[in-house]
Amino acid sequence: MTAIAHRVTFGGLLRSEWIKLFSLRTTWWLYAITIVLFVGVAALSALSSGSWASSYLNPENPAIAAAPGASAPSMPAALVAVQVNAELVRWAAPVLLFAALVVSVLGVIAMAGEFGTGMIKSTFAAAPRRTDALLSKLLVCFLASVATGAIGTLLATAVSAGIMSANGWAIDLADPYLWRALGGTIGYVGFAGAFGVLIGALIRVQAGAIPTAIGILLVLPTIVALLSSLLDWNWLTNTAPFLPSNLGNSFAGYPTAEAMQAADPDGSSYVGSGSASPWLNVDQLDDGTEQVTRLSVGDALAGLLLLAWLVIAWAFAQLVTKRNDA
Amino acid sequence: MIEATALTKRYGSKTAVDGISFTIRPGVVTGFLGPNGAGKSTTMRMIVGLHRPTSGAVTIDGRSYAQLRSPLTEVGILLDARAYHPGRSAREHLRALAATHGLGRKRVDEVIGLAGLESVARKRAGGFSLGMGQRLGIAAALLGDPHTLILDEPVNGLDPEGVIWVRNLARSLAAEGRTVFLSSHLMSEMAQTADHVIVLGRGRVIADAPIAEFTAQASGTAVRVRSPHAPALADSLRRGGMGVTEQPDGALLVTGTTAEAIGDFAAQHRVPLHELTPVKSSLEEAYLELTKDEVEYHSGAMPTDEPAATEGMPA
Repeated sequence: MTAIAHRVTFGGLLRSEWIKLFSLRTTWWLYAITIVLFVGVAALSALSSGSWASSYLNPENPAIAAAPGASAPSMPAALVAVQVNAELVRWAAPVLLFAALVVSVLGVIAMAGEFGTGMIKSTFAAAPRRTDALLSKLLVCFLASVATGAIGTLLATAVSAGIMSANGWAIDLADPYLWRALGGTIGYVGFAGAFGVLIGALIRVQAGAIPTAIGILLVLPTIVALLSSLLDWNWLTNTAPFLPSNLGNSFAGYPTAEAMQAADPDGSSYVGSGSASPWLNVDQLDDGTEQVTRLSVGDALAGLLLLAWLVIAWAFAQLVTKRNDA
Repeated sequence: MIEATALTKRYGSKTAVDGISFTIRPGVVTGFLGPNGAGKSTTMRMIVGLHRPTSGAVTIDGRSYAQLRSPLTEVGILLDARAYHPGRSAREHLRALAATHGLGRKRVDEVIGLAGLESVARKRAGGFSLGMGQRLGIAAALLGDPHTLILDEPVNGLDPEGVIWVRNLARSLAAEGRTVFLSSHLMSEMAQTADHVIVLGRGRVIADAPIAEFTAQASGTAVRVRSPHAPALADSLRRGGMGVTEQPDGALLVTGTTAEAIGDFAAQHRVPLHELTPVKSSLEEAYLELTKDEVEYHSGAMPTDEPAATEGMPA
């Protein structure tokens, strides 16, 4: 027998999960599709923005100049810059929906697939405490999703900026709100990947876990909206902002209202006006109270709440992983 | 050394393993026999912590599997011919397992060579035959050069060359002082490989004896003896250096001697005998006899009069 100094380490488990993830073709396909989607939708979005000359934001646009009341003072240049950057990342919301879908399904497959194929026996044999194997898969899928989100986001922004610049738009890449939104987009893709792993650990059967993950991320907000309007339940309406996808939109969306407020501190209040941002909606109720139906844009709180979703799902997943027979 | 104490596993109202205790010693190959559904796989899964015992405990070298710091170098496991992802190549599968313990590519290539998988190591394992899958599983079990090997039906699906390979592997690892525990439902296969056999039926241990006892019986050198003074006779026969096992019906099965010698011995000691029968049955028959009341799933009656007379294959 050879003298053996090897033992199972967390670093070893991380490396093992990394090898497992990237030794499957599915992984490469799904991540590649996600990146292509980022770039494709960004290109379409930038092309559909048209040229600066014909943009509704351009005060010299003949259509706007000819409009009634055109003599009124046009928007300050700083505010126009904010609106232009909002236009720059218009692709983010639709892409995020689909990217979350693909990346979370990949997370589910990575975890539930082990139970389905029998691989889990090998995994747990090498890591009999199990929860360290779960955590390493969670971290690896999170990091891989973040990397995919980062590549997609940066490429999409570059393509979008390139096309729009070519069409005469003045893009301001130094805008901190832009980078905050892009960071949120990357973060939400990471969330989706990690969330998929946890749903896979909780349900273990792909046929059940995939619809559950998609249901929570994509369908639940619609159901909540329908139910609350149907049954007139205000409390249910108030839960909507806390669903992962709505938190994702808040976390990742470009904070137009906030950026406008910062660009024009002496101007009228943009935040909370209910119309300045499509993301923020403060309803004035009959009794004079205000009801926030969406969290404010780019709020760091949204990021923390997404993390809370992960921590809670992780706690349950650990319990099931530890307790149930493999 | 694997030690089970009152190990029990229930799934709902069904008891798969019913309070079994046994010890598997290092340095010998221990076979684990029993019909389908007897609880062999469940027992093996409990040994390595994949299934949690309902009650009782099982330890490997004094510790439960979950407490092992370096499970792959302490215990090598083959529990399922398909314990890998079909989309991953054999090599990547082994690399992923090796990485958990910081074992290098060199060791991965070594076990690929050992298992004869060089030509297919880069192919996706989903396309493997059952036998290739078994080879991959055995390669994975050997990865950490473990002190203990637990192999569930290792020869299932292997070609004759593979069967001999597993047999020699098990014997040489045991000869190095390791603990080797293999299951099978074929007595003839065990006769070639194991030194000691534990037979399980309906979740209970129904025999735990050296293989010699089984083979002696099969080759006709066992003698069935019934006597009103069976316990006393058993003692004196044992003192005379003969192997004696008590049968469930109270008879004695004596090995290492002949019917004539036992008859003379009994006459000298004035012990009345009610039966003195040289037992002539194949190993497989002996095993079937042993487990016939313990079979969970009986086959329907077949229109045949041929008794399965499988003598152990020549080694």
